[in-house]
Amino acid sequence: MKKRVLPLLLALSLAVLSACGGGGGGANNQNQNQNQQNGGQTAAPEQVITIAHSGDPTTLDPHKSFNGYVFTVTNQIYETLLYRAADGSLQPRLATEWTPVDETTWEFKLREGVKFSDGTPFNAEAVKFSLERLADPETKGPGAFIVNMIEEITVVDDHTVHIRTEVPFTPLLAHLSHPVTAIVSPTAAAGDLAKEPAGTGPFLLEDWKAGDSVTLKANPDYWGGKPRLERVVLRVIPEAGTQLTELKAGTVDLITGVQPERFDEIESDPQLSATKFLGWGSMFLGFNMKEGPLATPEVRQAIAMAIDRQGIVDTLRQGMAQFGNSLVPPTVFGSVENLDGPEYDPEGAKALLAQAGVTTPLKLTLNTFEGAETQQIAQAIQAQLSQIGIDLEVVVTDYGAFAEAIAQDDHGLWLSSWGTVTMDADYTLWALLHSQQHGADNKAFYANPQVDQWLEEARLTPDDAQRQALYRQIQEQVMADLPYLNLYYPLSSYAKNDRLQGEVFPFAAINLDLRQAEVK
Amino acid sequence: MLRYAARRLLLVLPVLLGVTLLVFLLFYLTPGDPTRAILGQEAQGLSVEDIEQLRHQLGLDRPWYEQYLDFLGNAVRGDLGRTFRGDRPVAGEIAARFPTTLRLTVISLTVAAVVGIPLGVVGAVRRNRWADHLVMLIALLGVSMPTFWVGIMLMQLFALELRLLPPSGTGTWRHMVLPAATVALASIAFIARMTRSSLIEALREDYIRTARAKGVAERMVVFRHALRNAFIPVLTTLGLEFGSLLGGAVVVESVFSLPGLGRLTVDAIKGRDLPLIQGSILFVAVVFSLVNLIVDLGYAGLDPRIRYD
Repeated sequence: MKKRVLPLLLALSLAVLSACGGGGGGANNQNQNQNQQNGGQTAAPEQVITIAHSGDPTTLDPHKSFNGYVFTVTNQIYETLLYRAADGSLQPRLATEWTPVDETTWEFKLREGVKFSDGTPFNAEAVKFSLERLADPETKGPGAFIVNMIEEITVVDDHTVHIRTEVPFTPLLAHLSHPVTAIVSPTAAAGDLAKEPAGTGPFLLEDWKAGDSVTLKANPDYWGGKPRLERVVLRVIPEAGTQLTELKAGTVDLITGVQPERFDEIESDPQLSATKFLGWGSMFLGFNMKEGPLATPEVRQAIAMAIDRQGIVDTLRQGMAQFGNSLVPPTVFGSVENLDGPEYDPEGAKALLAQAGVTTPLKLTLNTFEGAETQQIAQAIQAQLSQIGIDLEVVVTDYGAFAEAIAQDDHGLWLSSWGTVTMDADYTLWALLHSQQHGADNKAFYANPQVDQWLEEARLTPDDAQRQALYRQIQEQVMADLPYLNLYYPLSSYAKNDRLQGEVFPFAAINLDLRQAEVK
Repeated sequence: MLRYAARRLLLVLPVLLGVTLLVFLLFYLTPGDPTRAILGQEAQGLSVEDIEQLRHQLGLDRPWYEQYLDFLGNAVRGDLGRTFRGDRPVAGEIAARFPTTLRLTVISLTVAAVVGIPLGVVGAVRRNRWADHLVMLIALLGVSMPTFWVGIMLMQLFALELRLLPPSGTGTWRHMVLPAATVALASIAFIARMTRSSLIEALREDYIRTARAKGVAERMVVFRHALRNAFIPVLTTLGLEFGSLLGGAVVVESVFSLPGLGRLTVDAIKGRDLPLIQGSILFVAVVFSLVNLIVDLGYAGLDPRIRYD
């Protein structure tokens, strides 16, 4: 009996000791040793990589979900008509050319000689079928709204398709680069696409163990040339701590969403590197201006002046965020650089409140959802507003309850993150600002007929420079009216084992492009 | 015995009815718009009509009792419906996750019983001596150390420092060692304490004194006479542990990236995936009831005074 117990006790006390002793050094040496051994043994590296996936893809049917965990996988198997490259430009993918026919119709020339992995030829019929399938209520796809402005899809010939929208809609091209608009094989879609996906993408599904892993293998017939990686394993590892341990142990090659405090630890390992990049996200504060104290412009202005946004970026986010006034980050089309906004000035804020005749302490509420980042920011705002006599009650709930709390019109302030997933400002500005969106995402109840008109104009205008000018006007007006205050743009991050080279992340972890990736 | 089992099985039905009703009510009483939660944080930019349309597609715009009766009707016919997030068959999702949970439960509880019961016996027989104190210390540690912490420590030690085992995931038997050890550690503590106290009690009984007076060897006294009688509460504990572990060990599954039932259920609750919540909780309730029944029937095997006629 003693023999059984002692090793257990020993192991435990060792574990405790190693945890207390700061850990890092020993682990790194081990890692180096093992990597050197591995390097000595293998001549040509096996082209297999393992990626940590934070959540479970609930389906592999791109039309039936609107979730990043699903898109990371479906982006490897399927392709869209257009592709948003890492430089922000729209590039041909399954469509080779696109030209406007009239105000509401675009003509797309399709890539020839492409086949779905089940052998079905890729053609205009497949494009019509896929986009109509996504929009069909029977599909129950939460992403249908991405294409709901499409009125009609006409097959002109085998490799030409016309897409007509209800009203002129310039952001259509951006929408057709979103992963939810993936083109699927009509033959395979008659069966169960979630289990037996068939796309035109660089990888094929080899195995899917629900909740555990998705294994992809190179598509030997990929039109862009067979990828160098033979196999890609996406393992579901929900815990960030476990992901990092796996990366350090060499059992995982790539993790996304690295916590800021872990960067040094990763960089100190010669085999590993960590990267951060500006994505499509923003973090903003919303003001319900329908009634109550927040309906007074001076109150919103004072709150904006009382929050040290640059300070939040520098101290709380530890370099994992970039400051900016525009509601969309600089990566997105329609973002405005050098947009003037409220400067940090708590004394001026106090004076402004007094001038407007507001009696302090003023009681307000702020809703946000669970998460280390949102909670931390909400607390900072609470502390800063208390300096100007605003007594802010912070309400943190899970996302569903948060969405419910701000769905009506009796909320006050709210803190939320946002992703401009089409990389076009229309997506965000229309949703947040247009008066038609009251009750949907315009929870500020912002209504400015001039802004509505500019937003509509920007949708009709095919000219990029003209659209950019409109988005500048709109956002200058937003800075004056202050229905929202952008706090910062969160940076995305990933860490990898340096044996993996050539991976590309266009603006988001879910857009991971492995077509040029390889193991060195 | 058979009639007893049949009657007990019949009694499971109202329990299941109650469980499903409770889940339904909790789902609707919990604050938060399910449609929005199902869409999740990433689906932004939808219009009011888009959200209403989705609500309609999911059937969430109908009165709750109508939805509940529909669910019951289908469940009776063995159809648990399709998930909200991904439109996949619920039964298939549960079937895919159950083997991992079953494996983890069987391995860790076997280890816990094989280690925990002897520890408890040592504690009882050597009461108030150093061996007993050691056993109780281990039990105290096992009970009071949080599972997630034990899991992380074991992973750091065996996967990162010693590199003996893979950190997490599935695939080989080596992947099961750390999670099973983590679960077992807590159960060992539980079982050892239960065995010890129950055995101490049994050793005080008159028939033990009689046996000793007759000159029966101490080994026989402890194992044949006392332990068998002390076993009923231990069996109850084992049964309860078995039942609750079959419902999934969420923390261990998360730390060690295991695709078990616990994570499935918690993810479903977070995403307000009603059919999946309903299906997995119903499944766990059935399993738990069955395990309880088997344990109750097992009592008769241990104690001839217990008969189910």
